[in-house]
Amino acid sequence: MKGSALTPEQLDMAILRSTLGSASHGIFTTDTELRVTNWNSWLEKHSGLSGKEVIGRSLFEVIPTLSERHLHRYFQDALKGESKIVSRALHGYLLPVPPELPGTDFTYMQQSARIAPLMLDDRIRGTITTVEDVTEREWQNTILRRDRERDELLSASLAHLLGTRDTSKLMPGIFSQISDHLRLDLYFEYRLSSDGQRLVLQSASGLTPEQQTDFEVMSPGEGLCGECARTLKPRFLTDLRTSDQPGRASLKSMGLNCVAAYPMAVGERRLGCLIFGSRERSSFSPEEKLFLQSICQYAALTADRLSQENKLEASEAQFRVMAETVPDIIFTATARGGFDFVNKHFCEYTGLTQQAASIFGWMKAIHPDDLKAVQDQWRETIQKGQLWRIEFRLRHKDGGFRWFVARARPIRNEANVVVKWFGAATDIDEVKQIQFALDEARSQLREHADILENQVEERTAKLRETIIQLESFSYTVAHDLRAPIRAIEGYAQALLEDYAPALDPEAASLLKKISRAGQRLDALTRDVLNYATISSEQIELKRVDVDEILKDVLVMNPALQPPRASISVVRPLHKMVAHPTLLSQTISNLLDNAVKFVAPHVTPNVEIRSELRSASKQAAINGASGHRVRLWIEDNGIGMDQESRTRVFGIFERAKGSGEYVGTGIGLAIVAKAVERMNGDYGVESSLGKGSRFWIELPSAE
Amino acid sequence: MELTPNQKETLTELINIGYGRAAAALSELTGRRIILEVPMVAVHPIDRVRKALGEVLKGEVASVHQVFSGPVSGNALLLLEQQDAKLLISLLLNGNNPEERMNADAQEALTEVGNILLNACLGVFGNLLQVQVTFAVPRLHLESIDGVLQSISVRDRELQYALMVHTRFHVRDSEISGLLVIVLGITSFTRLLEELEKWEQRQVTKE
Repeated sequence: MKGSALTPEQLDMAILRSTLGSASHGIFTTDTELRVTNWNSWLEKHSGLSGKEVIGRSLFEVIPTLSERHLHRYFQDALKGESKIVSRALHGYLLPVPPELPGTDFTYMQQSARIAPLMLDDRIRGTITTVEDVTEREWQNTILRRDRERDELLSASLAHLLGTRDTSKLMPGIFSQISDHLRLDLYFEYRLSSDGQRLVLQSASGLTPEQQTDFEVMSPGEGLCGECARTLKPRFLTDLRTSDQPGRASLKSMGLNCVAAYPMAVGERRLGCLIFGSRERSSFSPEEKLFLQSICQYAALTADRLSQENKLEASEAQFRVMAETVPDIIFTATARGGFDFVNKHFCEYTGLTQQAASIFGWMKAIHPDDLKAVQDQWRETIQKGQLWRIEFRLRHKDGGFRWFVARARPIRNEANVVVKWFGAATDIDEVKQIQFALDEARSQLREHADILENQVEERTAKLRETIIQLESFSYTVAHDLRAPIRAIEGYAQALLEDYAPALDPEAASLLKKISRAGQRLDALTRDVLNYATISSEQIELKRVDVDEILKDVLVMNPALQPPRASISVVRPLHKMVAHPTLLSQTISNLLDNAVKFVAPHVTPNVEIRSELRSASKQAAINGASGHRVRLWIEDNGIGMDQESRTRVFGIFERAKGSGEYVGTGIGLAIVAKAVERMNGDYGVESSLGKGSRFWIELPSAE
Repeated sequence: MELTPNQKETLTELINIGYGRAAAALSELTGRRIILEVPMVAVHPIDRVRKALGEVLKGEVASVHQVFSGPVSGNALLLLEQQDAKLLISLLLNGNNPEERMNADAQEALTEVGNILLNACLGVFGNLLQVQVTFAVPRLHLESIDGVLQSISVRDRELQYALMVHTRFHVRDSEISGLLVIVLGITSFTRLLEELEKWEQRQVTKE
C-alpha cells in the first residue's frame, strides 16, 4: 500500500507488538516508579487480568505478594542497572497464577523470570521482566525425585527387613518409614493362623485400642483382607468418603478415604494380608501401588524366612540338647569340613574348649600316629561326600589315649549339595583292648598249630618212608621165599609120585600134608607179593572197558564158571578211569571172595552191576570232572557182622566165622590198596546170613 | 601490576561490604544463615590467569558469567568446581537436589546466587566510582577452565587484568570455596585503584 510505508521506528513498534502478542512467555514492563507500562497477552491469559486493568497501576498492587517474597528489591536493583534472575528453585514463581499443566501437585504455575533495566539512550527508563512457565520441567523433576525417593525407601525398607529377626517388628518398622512419603494414616497386618482357619492381627498402626480388639481375628472369607488373602490379588478402594460401596462401613468409620490391600504370599504359600489406608488421599498412583506391592512382597519373603529360621533354630536347639545328652562325642562340620560344633563331652574328655576344637582344632587331640590317616581320610570324605568311619586314639586331658570310632555322614539340601556334616565318636577302648588280647592269643595259637603241623608232616613222611621200606622188604621176602617153598612142595610131590609104593600110608599122608602146606605157603607169598607190587608200582590211569576185564576174569577162573557158580551181569557196565591190571585184580579178588564164602551145599550166586553216580561234593571241590561209576558185586554168601565190615579190608584180616574157608586174608587188602591207588573208593554192605554187597567206585570214563 | 598490601586490604574491605549485602540477600531468600567470606584478593594480568585459576580449581567448573558495561566495562564471573556448585545448591535448597547432574532447576538457582553475588560486588564498585554500570543477563556455563578463559578473553586490544577474589560460602556446617573474577581493562582498573585510594583517605579522615 503506497503512502502507508512505515518509518523504521513504526516498523520496530509493529514487530515488537507482534512479538509481545505471540510470545510463549510473559513479558511486562514498568516505568521507573515501578508502574506497569506493558502487559502482554500471555500474561492476560494466565493472570486473568487484562492490560487495561493493569497498565498504570503499581506493580506491588498487581502482584501484592512481591514484598513478602523479598522480590521487590529485584525490581529496585534493576532500576539501578542490575539484571536479576528469579529462579524457580528459590522462589517457585513470580506471578501467582494457576498451573496450565493439569494433574500436578503445584498450586501455582512454576516460573523462572529475568528482571532487567529497560534502557533507552543509555538511560534507565524502567524495568522489563520475562516470565517463563517451567511447570512441566519441574513436574518431570518431581516425578523423577519421587521415584528416586521411593527407590531409596524401598531399599531402606529392604534393609530393615533383612535386619529384622523379630517377625512382630517387621511392619511397624517399615510403616514408620513409608507413611510420610505416601501420606498413609494406618495399616493392618494380618497373618493366616497355622491351621489356615483364621486371620490374626499381627501388627497395626493408626488404630484405637478398641478397634484393635474389634479387628483382632477375621475369618479368611471376611472383608477386604479375607478376599485379598484368599484370591492372592491386591484390592483397592478409592474415594471411600464420597462413594457408597456396601460392606465398607468399618473402613469408612475409621475416616479412611482410600485403601489398598495386598496379599502376603510366597508363591502359592499364603501368609496373610496387608492393608494400607489414607484419610487424606483419594487414590494411589500406579507407581505407588507398585511400590506398596514390592513392600508387601518383601515383607512376605521376610516373614517366611523368619518362620523358617525359627523352625531351624528350634530344631538346632533340640539338636544341641540331644547332643549334650548322649554319652558319645557329637560334632558337626561345615560343608568344607571345618568343625563348627563339638559337644561338652568332647570338651570334657579332651580338655579343649569349643573354640579350640573348632575348624580343625580337634585334630590336636588325635594320637600323632593316627593323625595323618585321620587328616587324609577326612579330606577325602569331604571331597567325595561319602560316609566316614575311622578308628583312632584320642588324647584324654590327663594325657592318656583311648580308642574311639568316629562316624560322620553328609547332610544334603534339596539340590543334593552337601550343606553340613554330622558325626559322632564312640569310646571303643575296652572292645579294642579285648580285640588286641584276642589277636594276640590267636596269633600264639596259630604259631602252635604251625609247629604241630610241621611235626605231623615230619612224622607222616617218616611213616611213609617206613611203610615204603616195609613194603619193599615184604616184596623181597615174599619173592625170595617163593623159591624154597616151591622146592619143598616140589620135592614132596616128587616123593609122593615116584616113591609111592615105598611109602607106608602114614608117610604118604604126612607128605600130602607137607605138599598142601607148601601150596598154601606159596599162595600166601604170591598174595603178599601182589599186595606189595600194587603198593609200589607206578601206575597210569586210562579209560577201561569194565565188561572186557570182567570177561577175562571169568574165563580165566573155573571157580567162577557154572556149574560151580552162577555169575550174572547186569549190563551195561559203565566204563571207568582205571588201571587195567589193578582193576582186573580187584574184580577177580572180589569175585573169588563172593563165590568162596557161601554156606555148604549152596551154589554161589553173584550179580554184578554198575551204577552211574554224580560226583560227591568233595570230589567236585577237588576239581574231579564229573560222574563216578560204582560197581556192585552182590553175593548170596554167609555175610558178616558190623565189626567185620570195618576190618575186612585190612591186611591179614578175615571176617568172623570165615576160619573154615581157605584164604590168605590178603585178597580184600589188595582190593583196598588197588582202589586207593586208582583214586577210588570201596565198601561193603552186609549182615550175617544175608549175603554181602561189595562195591568199588572209580571216576567215570563216559 | 602488583597490589600493595594496603591496596589489598582496602579492596578486601570493600568487597566484604558487597558480600555482606549479598549474604544478607541470600539468607533472606533461603531462610537460612549464609556467610560469605573474602579471605584473599589478588590481581593478575590476563595471561597469567590460567595458571592462577588452575591452582585453585580442578576439572570442570560451573561459572556464572555476567558482562557489564558503562563507563567501566568488563566481565564478572563466579567460578565453582562443579561438585562444589552442586553441593552449594543442594544446601541452599534444603538438600532437595541431590541429583548426579545439575538439572535446569539447579542451574537456574546457581545463576541467581551468582547474580546476587556479582551484582553486590560490582554494585559496590559502581557506587565507589560514582558511575552507572549496567549488566547483561547472567549466563551459566558448565565447562573446563580453558572454556571459561576463552569466553572472557575480550577482543579489546587494551591490556586486561583480572581481580581474583577467593570466596568462601558457609552454609549449614559446610564450607564451599569458589572464585570471583572481575576482568577489567587497564584503564578501568587504574581508575578503580585511584578511587580506592580516595575512599580509603575518606575513611581515614572520617575517623
